[in-house]
Amino acid sequence: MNIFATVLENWTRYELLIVLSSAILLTVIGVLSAYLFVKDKRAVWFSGISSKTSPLIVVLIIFLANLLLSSVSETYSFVFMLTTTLSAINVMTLNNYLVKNRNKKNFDIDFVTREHFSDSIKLIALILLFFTILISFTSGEIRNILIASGISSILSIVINHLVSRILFKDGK
Amino acid sequence: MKKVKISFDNLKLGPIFSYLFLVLISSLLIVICLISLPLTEQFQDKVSYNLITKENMYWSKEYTLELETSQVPEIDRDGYIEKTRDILFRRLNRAGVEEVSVTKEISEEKDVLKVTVKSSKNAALVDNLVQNRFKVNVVTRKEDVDFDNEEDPYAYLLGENYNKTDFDGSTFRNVLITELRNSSGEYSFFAIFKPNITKKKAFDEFLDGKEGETIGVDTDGFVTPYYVPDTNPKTFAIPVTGGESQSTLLSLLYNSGEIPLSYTATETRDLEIENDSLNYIQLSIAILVAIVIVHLTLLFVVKEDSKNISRSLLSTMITISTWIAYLKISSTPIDTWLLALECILSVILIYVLIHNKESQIAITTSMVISFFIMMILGIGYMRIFGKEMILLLLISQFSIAFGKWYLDNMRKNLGK
Repeated sequence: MNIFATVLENWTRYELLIVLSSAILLTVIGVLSAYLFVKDKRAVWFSGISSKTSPLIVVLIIFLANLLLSSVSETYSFVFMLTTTLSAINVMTLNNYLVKNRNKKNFDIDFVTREHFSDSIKLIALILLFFTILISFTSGEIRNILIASGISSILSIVINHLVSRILFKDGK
Repeated sequence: MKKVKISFDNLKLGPIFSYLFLVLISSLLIVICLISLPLTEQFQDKVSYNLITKENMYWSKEYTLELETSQVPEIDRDGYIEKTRDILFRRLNRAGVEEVSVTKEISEEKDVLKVTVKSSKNAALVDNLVQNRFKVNVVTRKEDVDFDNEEDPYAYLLGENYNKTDFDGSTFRNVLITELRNSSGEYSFFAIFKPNITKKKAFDEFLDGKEGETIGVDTDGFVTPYYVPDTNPKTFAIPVTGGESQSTLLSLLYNSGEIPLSYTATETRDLEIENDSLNYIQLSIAILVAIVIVHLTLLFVVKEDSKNISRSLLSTMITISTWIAYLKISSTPIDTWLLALECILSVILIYVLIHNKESQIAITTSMVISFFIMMILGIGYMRIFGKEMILLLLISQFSIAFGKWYLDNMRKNLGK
């Protein structure tokens, strides 16, 4: 069953309701936890923007996969799950660096973004290596899901970092 | 707020005991690793260490349901059809059916719903969930019917021998299927009907008015009798026959909503399954190679701290081995591709948790919440994935704490 045709034509109201409510709930939890634990406007914006960009990247990647492979099944929803989870982990590491370091003497926001950059690079290296090895051992739809997940996760992390560079500028 | 942290730091043992304990733990780890490896089942006849994969358990069907919409006002027709689709989907999703699609084909002659299912669940359970409308009504006995007539012993079962009341499925907020002690003192399953707060008073008054009489619950034309006791409070509970499997089915049918339209299953067609299965042996090799290469690269290329890398490697191995060993010993069937995704996420999570100690609590808490939401609100495979990831996260947390303790003690003992 093609994922786009299924969503547009065949989904029941109940399906739409629970998928939308879980997506909204997860976004709210991400933003709310940034607000409650980090208590920094930039961190809230960072979490909010990231929770929007990663699903957009996933939709784009699935759309491209649909064009290239002509049929993309509902199993591709795992691309969304893997990407948003890895992107959320990336966001949380920056927020936690911020919480741990902001009360230190001579606090430098550049240190936080540099640490986040180094962490993001390591995470990308891990994803790249792990997914590449698994892709070489798998075939069919699973391989395509792994490729799509790997690309969208890496893109999400890169965009997260770019957003953090804009939001967490020195002196702001 | 007090932080909850798993710690093995306070476990102090004498040097000999400590050494023996480490040997014992190491043996246990080797055993777990061996059980989790593929083909180890061939070395042990007494216990089965097979990993049960779901690939051969899948079946697929398409049900054609013809809806009876001729008696429904035109203005309500679309709403009723949508509600019927929703409830059928909800029933199947709650039952853990992996892939469900409920599509409608509306024409002037007839309204049809096509329910397409791909599942590893019991086919009879799914058949029952799709083909039964399960319309519930509380009924009272007709006065002109002789229920004691020996020539018609089944009179008490037929809905036509009863009068309908105003109390139907919408009267009850929930039907709890549970084991209760019956009149002979043994435990058996009962369906306890819990009325909505707004209808509770009217329903209680109805029961009070029927004290000492037999009423019943009509389900799709078949009645289960209920003798109204003259004691208070009255628990409106009817017996459920057929054991645990039947109670699971009934719980789903009672609690997924009331289908507003009558329908008939006109056709059931078996569908071919496109199984894109992964070879479990190939997958095990891939995961093992990937874990080792990733950690070696992080150690030699990225120049990560060797202590962290060894901890991450050990914790990852323990987590994945324990998970696969658990699946094998408990004979839990699993999709190989889902296992692959679970392993990927676990490896990355363990690495991130070990390398970002300051974020451990935040990451673990948010991941548990996310997977819990997935388990409750997810569809098909996502539900299964959310549930299994919560278990894997718990194992990971234990493995990380245990890995630190084990490596520290190993270094201490080997350094002596």
